[in-house]
Amino acid sequence: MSFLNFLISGISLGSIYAIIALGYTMVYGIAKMLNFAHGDVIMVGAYICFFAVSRYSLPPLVGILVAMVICTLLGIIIEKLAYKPLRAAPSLAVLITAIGVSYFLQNAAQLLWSSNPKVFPMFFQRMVSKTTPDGTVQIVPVNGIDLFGGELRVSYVTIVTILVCLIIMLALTAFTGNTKMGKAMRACSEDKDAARLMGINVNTTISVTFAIGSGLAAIAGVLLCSAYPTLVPTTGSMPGIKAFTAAVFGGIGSIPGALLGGLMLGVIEIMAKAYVSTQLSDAIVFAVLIIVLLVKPTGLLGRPVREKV
Amino acid sequence: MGQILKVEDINVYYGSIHAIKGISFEVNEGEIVTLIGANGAGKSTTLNTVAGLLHSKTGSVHFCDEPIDKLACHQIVSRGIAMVPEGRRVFAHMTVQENLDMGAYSRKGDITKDLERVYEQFPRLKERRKQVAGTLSGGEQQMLAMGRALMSSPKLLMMDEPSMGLAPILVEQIFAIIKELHKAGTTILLVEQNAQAALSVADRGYVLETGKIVTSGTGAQLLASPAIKKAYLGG
Ligand SMILES: Nc1ncnc2c1ncn2[C@@H]1O[C@H](COP(=O)(O)OP(=O)(O)OP(=O)(O)O)[C@@H](O)[C@H]1O
Ligand SMILES: [Mg+2]
Repeated sequence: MSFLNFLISGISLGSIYAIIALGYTMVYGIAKMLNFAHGDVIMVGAYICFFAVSRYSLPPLVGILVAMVICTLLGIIIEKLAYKPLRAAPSLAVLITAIGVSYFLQNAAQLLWSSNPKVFPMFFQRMVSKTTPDGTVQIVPVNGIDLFGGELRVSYVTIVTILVCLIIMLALTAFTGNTKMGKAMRACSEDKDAARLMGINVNTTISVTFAIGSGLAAIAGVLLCSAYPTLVPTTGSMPGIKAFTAAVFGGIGSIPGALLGGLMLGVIEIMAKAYVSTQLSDAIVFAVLIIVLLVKPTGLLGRPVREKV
Repeated sequence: MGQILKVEDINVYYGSIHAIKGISFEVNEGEIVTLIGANGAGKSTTLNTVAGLLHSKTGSVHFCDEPIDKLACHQIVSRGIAMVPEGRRVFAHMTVQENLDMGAYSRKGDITKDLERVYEQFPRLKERRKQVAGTLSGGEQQMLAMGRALMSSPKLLMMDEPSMGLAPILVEQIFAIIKELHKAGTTILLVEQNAQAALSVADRGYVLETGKIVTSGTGAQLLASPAIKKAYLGG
């Protein structure tokens, strides 16, 4: 049963990576840039939700919504102030700017919220009354379900994370496949000038992409901190890098690729931790990445660039 | 017949390269006007400047008596200019149908009539409506690029070398379609390497040489001119 346990936690961690990877992959697909500040937007989202719930006693769902709204705005503002002026600049300049924005967000968080760890509240639990052997009735929190007589334990966070990831993937697939804005996004990611000639406002489309990615980052931040409840200003950076890796792994620019890459990365990481070595798990993850990229340079679901002359 | 497009003294640069040197021309409603010239003369640059993909340092561009030279491309398109870009530029990963939908992006309201019209004009596209555009043949892609531009029901249709890389039979078909569009009242600004074919359908033409207009006249005049014959029509 322990294998199944590891698999489920791998899928759950992978779901979080997948949601974050979406932000990288969508922005890369359209703006052709790596938004390295994306991981830190996750951290901001987690902090906003933390304060909304712990300090202002808002219900968790409202806290998540507030975090999404603020991160969405933050994403749009970052794009407007930091990246839009560099639209015509070489990609190296944009990359350095993105790294700068990342440090800016981390330092701002340190100033605003200090680097003392915050303990993220438990959202996904339910209170049940339990009769103890001596006959008294107690109300205790339960944060998961036991299966197979307690051999397999699945926490609510895990279930919610996987479900949320699936819903987001389905919603985004429907959005890019069927809506006018979604199709405009695909058109921009293929050929910006041709998209302009269709009457598409490319700047607006890029803003919308940043908005969606950042809104999702807030959800990822809350899910991440629900599973690993220590919140510090650098909380987002490692998952951010892993999710970026997941996006490359799956084929950057591809939405199903982000899902596949995220899930595989999560499962490989947890399995490596469980069966090989905790210290080496990251090295193993990246070794697998390198092998995949050697065999398939565009990632698992990435499309080779082809042109017809 | 009113003037639909008036370009006055535009100068366009690529960095330090001075590609368009003070060009002026106009297109009247219902006309086919063609720009011809050798490779690198500045034909595509001119069309891209009218469409707003590039901007001129001087002069002005008026469309339906309104200045458009300061507008962004998407704003110009929504005023009624469509362009079939050089090299087709269809969205390779989108289906034929989706490409046509994108053509109607700036339109409001029902587009089924226009879609039917385009499919009538290009039956081949209808057969392949679910096919991804990147897998179409070159000629089919060209038809798609034209159909896509027509989906916006433009007042002015600009085409940049629509016959490039096509078999002679397809070139004929493309020019037949251009004539048909003309008959239906569409105003067309056509850029072509194939000067013979372009001048024979055009009402008027302009000859570009290294960023300047060197000659202009009716299609028939230019076809008959010895200098043009020598330079562009192979004798
Ligand atoms: N992106 C660019 N950067 C620098 N120079 C350019 C660029 N595009 C075009 N040019 C230059 O501007 C001039 C005009 O180019 P343009 O593409 O308008 O020519 P054209 O008449 O369309 O030629 P062709 O018939 O080969 O398509 C050429 O000298 C070309 O080298
Ligand atoms: Mg050209």
